[in-house]
Amino acid sequence: MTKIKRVRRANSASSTQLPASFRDPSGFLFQQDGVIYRQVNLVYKDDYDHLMDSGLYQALVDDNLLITHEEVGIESPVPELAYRVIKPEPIPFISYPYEWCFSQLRAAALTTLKVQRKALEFGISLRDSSAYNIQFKNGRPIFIDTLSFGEYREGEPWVAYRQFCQHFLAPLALMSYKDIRLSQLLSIYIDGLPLDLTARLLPWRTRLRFSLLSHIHLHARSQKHFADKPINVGQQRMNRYAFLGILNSLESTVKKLNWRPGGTEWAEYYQDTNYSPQAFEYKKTIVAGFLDRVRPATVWDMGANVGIFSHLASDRGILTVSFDVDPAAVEKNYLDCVARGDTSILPLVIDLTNPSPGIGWENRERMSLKERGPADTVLALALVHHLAISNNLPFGKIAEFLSRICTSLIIEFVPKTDSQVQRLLATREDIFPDYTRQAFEQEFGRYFTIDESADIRESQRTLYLMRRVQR
Amino acid sequence: MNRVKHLGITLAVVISLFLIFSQTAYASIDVGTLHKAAYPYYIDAGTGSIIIQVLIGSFVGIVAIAGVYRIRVKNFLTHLFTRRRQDKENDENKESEESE
Repeated sequence: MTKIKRVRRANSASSTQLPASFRDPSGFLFQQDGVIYRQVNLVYKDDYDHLMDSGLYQALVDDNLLITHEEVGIESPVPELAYRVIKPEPIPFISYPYEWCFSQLRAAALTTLKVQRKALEFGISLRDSSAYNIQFKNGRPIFIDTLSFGEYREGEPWVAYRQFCQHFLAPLALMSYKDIRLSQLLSIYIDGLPLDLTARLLPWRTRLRFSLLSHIHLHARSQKHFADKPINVGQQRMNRYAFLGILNSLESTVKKLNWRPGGTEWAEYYQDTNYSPQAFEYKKTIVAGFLDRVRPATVWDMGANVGIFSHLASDRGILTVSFDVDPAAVEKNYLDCVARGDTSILPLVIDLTNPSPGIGWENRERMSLKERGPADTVLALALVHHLAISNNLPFGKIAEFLSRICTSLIIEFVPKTDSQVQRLLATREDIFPDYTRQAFEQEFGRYFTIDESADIRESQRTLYLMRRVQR
Repeated sequence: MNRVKHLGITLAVVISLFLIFSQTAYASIDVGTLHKAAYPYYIDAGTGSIIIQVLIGSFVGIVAIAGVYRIRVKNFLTHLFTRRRQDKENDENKESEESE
């Protein structure tokens, strides 16, 4: 704690320590001139040298399991603590476990176990196994915390076992056995799900599986039983075979967990569109034309569904984050990306009407969605009617929010006469006299200039290309 | 009632397996004396988590050891079988050469 305070005081004006990095005394992240660096503290010298000299670093990098870094000679913000300053390979978009779909969280868990298994071959072990140590780069999970590696001492249990169960196993089991939406508990419990809560929420039949019985249910009881008992944990021994057995057991448990929406086949799940095939193709052509005109480096596809229009951007090599509120849509999107080998799309579960807030200490440890922007271009296709009618959001509010997260906007207006809007209105009173194309253009005109608009043939919808008004 | 009984049985099985196997599995391996880390771990491993991990580890560790030895035994037998067959073939070849 003393060290943390010293670090904060000593920050120079040009360097800013990142608020996500303060718990581990072995080092910290800081930003200088827009570039992120990691300071390796003297206290971590031996472990860092061991990671680099043992060959583990290179082995993990070769297997795409760990991000690369280079040692740089820039001035350290806290030179009295510094051993090295490294420049990690940048991650284009930071995402968090509560935004991942089931298969993404599962892939992240398996990546953590692969890293641990590989480390063990080099006499090294992970000192923590937080889900926040994983990010998605080129669409695949990768370990990002270079300072998580420590010497493995024969006979010592895995210090990160509790964290692995809470950050990965518990949410995956709940998503698989209870309800997919329980992944959102990860945003409430920043250090993983409490195991007693998980055990209470899981169906009774999970006790019949040895893996879940032991790693979740008995683990929860053990935590409760030993919570206030002073025991010398250092005397607990676990040999290498037992360590490997734990890793094998965790891996097979994670691999056996699966999830399908409503027990249906994917192909049946998404047939929900009122477009004719011609209108759909025409819409694709217009969106592709707009993208070619703007040539953005980053696209956020809001309400992406299974990501059909995100592919238009990713096929052009544009880094695309593909958001949807439906975990099943995001799951299908992710699985399709993996199957297609698409490395430019990152599908994420986000509720646009309640996007991820800043959470953790001082609300700054994990960034809000807005802080991670703006994107060059936002795609808002077949979205406005859901926001305006299902969520009672005035056009002005929608335009204002979108203007804060992008510089150009490709947006579709769906009129009241459209069958999808009629469906939304079927179950509620029509209190939206201002839901008109004129009002839409007028309200969006306060924040954007309309570059181009095109009616979608064989439908009543219109696509717009807008640019944010410079303020 | 059933629930308590079921848990009790499972716990008894796990604990007894631990007691049985820990003697044989661990006595043969010298874990050395526990030396301190360069600095303490910054995360709380959790007393209950460590204890249950050692318990589970003792059980699944046996499976891991069994897996390793299964492969060794399998390799040994395969090797033995292959060698015998090769010896037999060599003998047959010798015999046929001699008869010629």
